[in-house]
Amino acid sequence: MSQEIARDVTFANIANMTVIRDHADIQSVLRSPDVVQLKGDLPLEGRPFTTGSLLAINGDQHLARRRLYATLFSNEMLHYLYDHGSRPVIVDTLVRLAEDSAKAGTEPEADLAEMGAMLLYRVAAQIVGVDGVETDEGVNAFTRIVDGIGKGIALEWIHDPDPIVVEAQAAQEELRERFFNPSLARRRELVQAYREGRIERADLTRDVITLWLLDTDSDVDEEMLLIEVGVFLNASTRTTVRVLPHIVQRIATWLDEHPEDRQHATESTFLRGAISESLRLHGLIPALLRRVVNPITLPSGATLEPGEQLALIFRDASVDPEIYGDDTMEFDPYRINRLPRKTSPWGLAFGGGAHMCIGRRLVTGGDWRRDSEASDRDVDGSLVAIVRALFEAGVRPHPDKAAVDHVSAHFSEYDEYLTYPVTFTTLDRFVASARASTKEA
Amino acid sequence: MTTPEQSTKVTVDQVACEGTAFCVRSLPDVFELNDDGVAEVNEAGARQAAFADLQDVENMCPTTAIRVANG
Repeated sequence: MSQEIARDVTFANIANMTVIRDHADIQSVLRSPDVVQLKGDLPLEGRPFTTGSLLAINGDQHLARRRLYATLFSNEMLHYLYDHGSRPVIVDTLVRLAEDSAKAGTEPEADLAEMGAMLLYRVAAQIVGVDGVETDEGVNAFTRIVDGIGKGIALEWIHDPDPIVVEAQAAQEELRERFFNPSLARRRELVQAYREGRIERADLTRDVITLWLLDTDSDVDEEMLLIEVGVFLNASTRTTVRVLPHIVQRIATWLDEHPEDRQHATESTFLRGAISESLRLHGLIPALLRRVVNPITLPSGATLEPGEQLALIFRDASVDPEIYGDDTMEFDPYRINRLPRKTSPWGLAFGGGAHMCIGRRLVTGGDWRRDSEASDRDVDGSLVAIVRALFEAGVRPHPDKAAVDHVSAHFSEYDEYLTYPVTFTTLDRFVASARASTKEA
Repeated sequence: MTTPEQSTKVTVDQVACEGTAFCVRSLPDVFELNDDGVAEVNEAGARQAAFADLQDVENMCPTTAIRVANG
């Protein structure tokens, strides 16, 4: 589906940018060395939240940073995070929900939009290396802080950035004082002990902050690391938080229409296909922004000139019928089995090229595309862990309480649920099973 | 007699590769992007490369498309 690029957009800070919607054109831009990141520079007030972070750096600096993070999402680490991060966090959350409901004498119910955030922030804290989010109060404070910083990171989508900058800076300072400084201090001591031979490498924490400390001979740039931590916390959570209610909604609807699939609802194969489709259909990021540094010609024939700023709209590209079929707008968890070779089952949800989302495998797990021989085919991601546990506990959309989405609440096109009430039909059985597994372990 | 480097086998899964090009930028004598934007191995370059450097690139590949085997 070839679409002309557009140069007459008026939305917020992407006004007058070149808008690209065609799948092949976007992929070409993402892979081009002649196009660089624009994150944080539009408007310039966004710099305190992104400058020097993985989202904003390019070229050799970016390559070195990605090399530093090579171990962060290794296959072994992804298995570890499933068994010691995502799975225990969701199990713990559901057990506590069951206990609270029993105490209150009510049927178990939750707002999945809120629960998803709490879950993912706890996993993200583990990856980044932030301590102190184990209690409800800690998670609540952490959630508020990360959300506040997130607004600063996404400043390009705000019409009036000034008040948002103030809010984001306050959140960044709170992150520094309450979570970042103590976490950094603890890891400094561990790395020092390792360097002095008092502990083994295996005894170190395995996270972003520790990798930065290990990488430097002198001392880390704390300001830049604080920015990186804020970016990582947002990038590794918001995407998943936004899509989680969509996944449950899509699967629940599918199972109502295809009851024969109920027996497969907690199996990896089914969940991988369902999650991929949800990611493809529900554009997680409205667009990614780039700046052209050398002239390039796109597959559609359009040419881009140096200095031109680009908005890459993924939502249209991820539902291109020439790639995903005439039924591209329909949710089909088995589409993955009939996609052409090499086609991404989650569309462009994670971008592409050198800046492809570093946490993609954390979220989706391995590359299970047909014909792939990648070494991570047996790895399940955090979304599979969470959605599997939810359906093991019998999650279903609340029969009496309506979900509220961004479209109806704010007259926007942002594809996100603000609230998504759910109930659980087999939570007791799930909790009993979880407790039995804990005893066995 | 075959040295470890000479017997090293480097492959790129053509389905899994997403063209992030970290391998190409790290070891341009070993990897190159083809017309489809997917990495391919220059076997002569791979024979000359240090095994540790190849493993470094294998570990860095964000789509686990690269495999480096000795022997």
